[in-house]
Amino acid sequence: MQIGRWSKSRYGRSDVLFVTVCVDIRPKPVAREFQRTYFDKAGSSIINAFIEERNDYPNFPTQLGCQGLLVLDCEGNIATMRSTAFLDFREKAFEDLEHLLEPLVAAGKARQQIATTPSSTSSESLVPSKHLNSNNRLNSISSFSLNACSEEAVSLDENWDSSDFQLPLIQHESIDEEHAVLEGLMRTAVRTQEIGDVQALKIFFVQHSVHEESIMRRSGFTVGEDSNFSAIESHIRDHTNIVNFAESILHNAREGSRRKLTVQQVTLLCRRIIEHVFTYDILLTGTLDVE
Amino acid sequence: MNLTGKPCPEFFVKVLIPDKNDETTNERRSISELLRSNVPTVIDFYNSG
Repeated sequence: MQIGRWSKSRYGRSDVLFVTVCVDIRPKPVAREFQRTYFDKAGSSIINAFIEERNDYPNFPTQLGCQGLLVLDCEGNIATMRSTAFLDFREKAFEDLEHLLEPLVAAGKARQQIATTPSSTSSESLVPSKHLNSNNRLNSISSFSLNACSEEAVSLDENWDSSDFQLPLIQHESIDEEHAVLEGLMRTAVRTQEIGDVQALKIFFVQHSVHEESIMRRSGFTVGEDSNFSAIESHIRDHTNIVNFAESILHNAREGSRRKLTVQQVTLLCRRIIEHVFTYDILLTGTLDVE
Repeated sequence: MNLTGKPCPEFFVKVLIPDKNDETTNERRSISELLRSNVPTVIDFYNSG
């Protein structure tokens, strides 16, 4: 199992925490079997657990690991609800996760260096209230397929509302203005799924990326403090990946002579952009030179 | 629904104790109790399928 390999040879206890959660119909014996087979000698960065009671399941949409992993940043906020699926992309899914973890690990290391008190993970919930029930828990209990490798993961494409596109401020006037424009373009693209609207989103994202990268260079972003992580190189690579994805779905739609993309394609593009801002751009907060 | 950037909503697990495969923690633990300060977390839900 890849998580065992990551824990043993790539990520130490202070780099990444892996929580493996058995949701089998026989959770405890299966978790024991996985413990013996994969985790006992895999290092201390894994916590292996299981869920027995239906009410203990996540009350938000998630999925089995080979359909995509749930990743949290070093403050316990969601970095991605679904990483690239091993089911669809095999080894590339592992590479994508490692790429996603680069800035998250770097941010964690930076905070570890300056931390004098443990950070709290119990900050006030920012989850929109319409998704919460009277117990302040989310309304939809997760369901997991019996066989992740033969069944589709639950959709993440439904019930988006305006606040779901909201991007955090990074305290740089022009970048925050451009992020506000991106929010509007994403809302329009998801609402219409028209090729023209998705194209407009892609074009503006490219322009914004070029501008942002130039500001980063002027602000001294060349090589990260950790020699394994170059903040600007990793950042640019993620911009490029998002643009490539946008171009691929637009190309496929044109090849099929369609005027519209699917909801799934457009929401996935928007999730990639939003995840980028929360994972990469957030690290720029307060660090960019004023223009 | 998009929860990117939001605190992970709570769910509850029982933790296996390494090297003592017949033992688990006696009580349900919330996911936020398991997180390590200033360390990102990867959560993998699995079954035998």
